[in-house]
Amino acid sequence: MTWETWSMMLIVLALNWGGFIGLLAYGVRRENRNGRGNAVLNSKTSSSTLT
Amino acid sequence: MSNPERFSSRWGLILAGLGLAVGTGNLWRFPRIAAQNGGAAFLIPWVIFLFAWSLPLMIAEFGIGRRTRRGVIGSFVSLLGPRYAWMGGFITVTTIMVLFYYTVVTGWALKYFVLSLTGGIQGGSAAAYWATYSTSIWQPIFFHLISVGIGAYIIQRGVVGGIERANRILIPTLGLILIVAVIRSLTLPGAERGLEFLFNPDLSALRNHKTWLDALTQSAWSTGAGWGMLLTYATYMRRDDDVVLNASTIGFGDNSASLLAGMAIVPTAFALLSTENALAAMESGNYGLTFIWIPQLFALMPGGTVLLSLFFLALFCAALSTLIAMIEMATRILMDGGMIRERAVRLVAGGVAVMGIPSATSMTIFENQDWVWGYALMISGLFVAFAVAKYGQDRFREELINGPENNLNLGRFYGWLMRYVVPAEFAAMFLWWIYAAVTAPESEAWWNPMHPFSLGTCLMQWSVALLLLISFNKNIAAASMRGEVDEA
Repeated sequence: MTWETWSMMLIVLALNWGGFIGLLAYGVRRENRNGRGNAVLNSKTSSSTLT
Repeated sequence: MSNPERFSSRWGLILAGLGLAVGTGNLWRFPRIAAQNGGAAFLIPWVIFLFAWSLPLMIAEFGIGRRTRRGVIGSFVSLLGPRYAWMGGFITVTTIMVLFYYTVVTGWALKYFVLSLTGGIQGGSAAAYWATYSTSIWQPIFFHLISVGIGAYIIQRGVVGGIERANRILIPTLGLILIVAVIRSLTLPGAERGLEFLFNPDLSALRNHKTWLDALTQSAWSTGAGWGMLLTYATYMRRDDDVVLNASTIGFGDNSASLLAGMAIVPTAFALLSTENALAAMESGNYGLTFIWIPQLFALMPGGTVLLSLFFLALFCAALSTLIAMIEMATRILMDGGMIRERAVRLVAGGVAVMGIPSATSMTIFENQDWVWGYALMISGLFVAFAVAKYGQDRFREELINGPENNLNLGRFYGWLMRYVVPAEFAAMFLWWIYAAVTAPESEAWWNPMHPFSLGTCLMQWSVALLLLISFNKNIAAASMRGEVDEA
């Protein structure tokens, strides 16, 4: 394969697969952060109900 | 409503969205269209249209569904008022007409999967088998009915137990099979000729307007942007779910699946066939490539019997995950009218079972419906863009998309895209399509509504749908708001 083909393949795959995996990873991080935030909020809510 | 249906997590929503977007178009259309339009040169406008057509429309559908919590017709009524129910109606009719023959395609994939498992299809006899099967009556009807039954069973189980659970199985299975197929394809001697064909940047193809228009239609059809299915799934989003990030993940995921399919099929064809035959395979049309060439290709490679079964399993998974989104869209419309899910699913399944029979028994009817309603999907996209512009593109962006719950927010360019760029793309595509339909050498009957592939048949069928929808607009608008809405 010529270097033009290699470079084109890498650019296209990096943009599409990289975009997909990057967005997915960012979503995981945000979801985990939200999950932790909600857990803290829930624990505060439940303790305030008990008292 | 005390217990509204919601996806259980972001992943449930993304998998369902990927299931909706990744369909047969990724597996049998993308490799062929890319190869016909200069390979890498095609990939440039294809990526541009992901940003300029598909993602803006997908984001709009997500925003509308999350806000209105109603199906497509109810959403148009909620957003723009009862006068515009017919627009939501046209999007609904278009996707349902596609559903009527999509179950037939799903049935073909299932039939060929079963056939490949039992060794009933041999490479050399694939063309004769397809010719017999596609002109027979009972088997295509049988597999069409099985597909309707499976789809209806999944939808009857609801959002989490049905749609989400099915996609948690279908999408990883599909992804895994595609990755195995790519590895096998790229390790065949001579596969680099296929990669060269797919990725060689022959930029002269960019001067051909057909490359751009094929790229636009491929992106629109593949992602399902503007079909109303994403809007329907978005009605089950949690209120704090992100719009922009989720829609973008689905859009990029769909493109990634297409590239996997391209890298599985094109290098295999070039590795196993002469260049002349590989080109003939790429130009043989969706069914020719899938049901005639693929069995012949896999018969030539070691372990090909297993890979052939895996390919048709992947095709079935892709088709089924899109099919259930279409059934859910129709079901949601009836639920908006006050019907319970079980009854609505039974009604939709019954209707699809009957209305799919003509396409199951006649390739001419099948191809006519694909021609007419495949292009109508572009009009559906335009109607979604119109809804955003009519609501006020900046107001839409601020009220329905951006918000503190979002991980990504949009700037003013989004309004500009929806108001000017999407309609301009539609106009260019539509005018070119009319020009091509009128001037093609074989199209002397372009005006004839009885000719299966004419401009006339499209205009006639769209006009009948529009006339009925506009005539009964008041009733449709009222019915679409009859059911309860779950605001949570």
